[in-house]
Amino acid sequence: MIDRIRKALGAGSADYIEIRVQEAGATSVQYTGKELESIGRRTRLGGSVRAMVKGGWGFASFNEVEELPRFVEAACAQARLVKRDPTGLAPVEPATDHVVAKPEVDPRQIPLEQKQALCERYNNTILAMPKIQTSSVVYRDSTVVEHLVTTDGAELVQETCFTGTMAMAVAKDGTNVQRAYDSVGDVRGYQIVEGRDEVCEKVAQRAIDLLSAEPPEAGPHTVVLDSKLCGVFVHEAFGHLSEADFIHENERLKKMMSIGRRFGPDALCICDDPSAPGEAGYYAYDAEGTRGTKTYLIRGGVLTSRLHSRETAAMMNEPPTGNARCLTYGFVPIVRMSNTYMEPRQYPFEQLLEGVDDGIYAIGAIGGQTDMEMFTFSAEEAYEIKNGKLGRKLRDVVLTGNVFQTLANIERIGNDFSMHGGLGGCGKGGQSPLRVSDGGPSVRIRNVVVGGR
Amino acid sequence: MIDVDALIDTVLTKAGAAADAAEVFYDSSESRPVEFENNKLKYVATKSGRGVGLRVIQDGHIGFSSTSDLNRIDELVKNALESAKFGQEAKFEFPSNCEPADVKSYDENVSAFTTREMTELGQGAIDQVLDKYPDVQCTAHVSTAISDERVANTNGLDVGHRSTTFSIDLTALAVNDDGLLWVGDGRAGSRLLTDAAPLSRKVVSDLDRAKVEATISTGTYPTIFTPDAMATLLISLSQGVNGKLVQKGASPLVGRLGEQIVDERVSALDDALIDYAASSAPHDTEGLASTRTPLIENGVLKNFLFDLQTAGILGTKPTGNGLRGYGSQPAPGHNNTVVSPGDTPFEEMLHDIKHGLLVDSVLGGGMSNTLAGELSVNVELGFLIQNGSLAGRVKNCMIFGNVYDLMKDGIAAIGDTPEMKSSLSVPPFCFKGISVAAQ
Repeated sequence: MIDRIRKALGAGSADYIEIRVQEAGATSVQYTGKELESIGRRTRLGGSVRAMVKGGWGFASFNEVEELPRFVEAACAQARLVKRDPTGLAPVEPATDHVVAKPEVDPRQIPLEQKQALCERYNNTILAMPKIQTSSVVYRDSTVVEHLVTTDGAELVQETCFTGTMAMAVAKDGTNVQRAYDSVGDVRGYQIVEGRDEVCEKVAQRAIDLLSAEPPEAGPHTVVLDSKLCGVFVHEAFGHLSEADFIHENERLKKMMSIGRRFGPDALCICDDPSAPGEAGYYAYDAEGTRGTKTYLIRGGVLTSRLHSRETAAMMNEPPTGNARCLTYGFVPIVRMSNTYMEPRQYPFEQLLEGVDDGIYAIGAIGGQTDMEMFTFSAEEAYEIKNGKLGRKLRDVVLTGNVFQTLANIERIGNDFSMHGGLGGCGKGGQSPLRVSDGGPSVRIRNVVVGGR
Repeated sequence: MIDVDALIDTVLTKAGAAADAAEVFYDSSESRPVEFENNKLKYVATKSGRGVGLRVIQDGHIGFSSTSDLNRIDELVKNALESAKFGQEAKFEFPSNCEPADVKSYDENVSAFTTREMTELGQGAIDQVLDKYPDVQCTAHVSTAISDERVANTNGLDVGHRSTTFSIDLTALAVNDDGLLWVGDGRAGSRLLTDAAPLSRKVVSDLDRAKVEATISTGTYPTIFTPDAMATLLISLSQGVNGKLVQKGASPLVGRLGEQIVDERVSALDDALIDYAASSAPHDTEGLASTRTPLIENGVLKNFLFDLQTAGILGTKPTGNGLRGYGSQPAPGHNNTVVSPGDTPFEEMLHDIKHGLLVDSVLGGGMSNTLAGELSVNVELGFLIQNGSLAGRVKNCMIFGNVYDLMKDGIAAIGDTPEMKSSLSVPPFCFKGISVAAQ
């Protein structure tokens, strides 16, 4: 395949040409309520060509891989229609490599029967609990073999093998409907989806408990976020803002995001690391063939770097970080996060609660969104904190903040740490869900606005 | 070029020989998007994609698989049959014929629109904003697409249709010392749009009225939701009438057909028959003719939306709402949603508010417990209303409440002018009191 792609490069002429061909196979099982909603395997084959002429880009995506040269020509012709400032691409070491996925237990070796039986067992566990109205249990594995050849000398074959599962429970009492879920998903292998019977039970119990929980009192609160919610907070409140495609052409934004600007307390460090082994956002090389490396975005509370593609790195005269990613061959690579987290510090959990007279402990994440300045993130469950102790259970806790204020309001950073992947992912520019993980320790932040009742 | 007739024939013959019944769904699309970044053209692209989904019924059970690799049809059939060993019991039969509804969803002007015309349209929209606000940074997308859909089964059904899509969006980012401001607008439908001036005007008008910042404190205020903001509110009702969630018993509307669930001034329907609207089609993806389905009439819940299987399980009639791409099985989904207008002009709505809020766009929509109607979102673009006029942008605050409660007892007035930018037609709504959480 690589030879065929290399040959096709000659079909067009441009300052830069990049050809991607992906072969993919996936298995999925989904129970919803009592029914096995869908099960089976599917396959995909497709490719894309991206070409740059004097800073303008052409792009063609297709399924007819046998007609590659035609699409190379088309992408180059399209690139010539765009008149832009020639900025070039930051130089990278031309990568030639063959990366093979190494799942501990390979999901491709597990019979479909076994995956179905696993989901059925989890689903039955949830449905057996009282007040559970319906459930959803999803299993998915997908393997992608990506071939990448560029005119800058990259020749890569990268295989990725992702496995994950999700369990959701819906509890109902009259018109009161509450949901709870839990998901794991990364590139470690099939073993991560096994042995989750207890997790499923807990998910169902959480949905049931939420039926009698109360909404919080609206307004600003001191909040303690658990590791998972801290991850979503880091991703939404800061991660997206550090993606250089957002700032690279705007002088005011460049000033606002200048290296050295203080965002938080000395203890605050935020990183993005595609090379973190096994994590959901893991990759050896990004979509442009740049090696993925760990980048400190904030160190000692101060902005130290940002995430780049080769193009944004050239425009800002900074080193590329290997963060150009595309959802599938049908999309152009854009600057994305991978595995993003806050580093842990010294506080045990009790000391995060200590001294909080009236606050909220928020656990888990349903989701989050940002417009780069303001962001929201929703907790799966929460407890009030009264005089340093956990109190009654709360539901519908949605938090909002302003990145330029909230990071500075971090008071204490915990000593625990975990990363969270899962079947969901990150959305940007219509490319969703991209596999990422995020995480951190538990963390205490003052003056976060919470919606309520 | 793919010979679709031959492909469908091959798949049906092979699958029909191996299974009791089979259905093949094929879709393909060719789109030509152009993308502007930082006020200038950045990408010219062509995207083509197609694939085939195979659903079989074997020993009464459903099996499914899909592929975009048309050299692997034998594997496709094998995978679908393997899946049927586990699949759920089929509570329907594939339809044997279809009288497609008469609705326009193809505009030849879209396919004839050149890349050059697209870039001129996009650049024109950006330049109109830059004329007034030279310091903002605009992003825009203009895209044309032609899509083909075809569904055929071993009971003799074979229908398909071709549709066009034209879409344009425009976003401006203004940066000042206090933070960021995003404003934008967009349109999508089957028909070509050659005048982007309404988008530029909306962007300029939002930039105008957001120049001044205002503050609001935690409390409850009369609040107007623009049609754009209403889309977030309506997520809960859309989920509530979705046949899948009804069949699973998860919808809070289960068992309430015929009951008054919202204010009697509220009527809404699912409508696939609006010429050139974004989600119009002559038939659904299972080959059932499209129709209009009343969802709420004068506040009374009238219907849920079903595909074949969910209707079969509940022993009711499918509504022609089975939607999918080739890669997945059909599931109940919405076509165009039309919420009936009321009788209050927008100006009058505004005029009647002494101290309140106008919400135009929100952050975090759909991320709360929407099924239960819980709304809890950040006000991305909202304005303080003082004595009947806008008094500046408010930010860093949340609005929250329960959509079912708000729509039942909370409506002050419904606007007389609906807006339809894509597949939702809705007027502005004014609510008596929306809770705001602020710093």
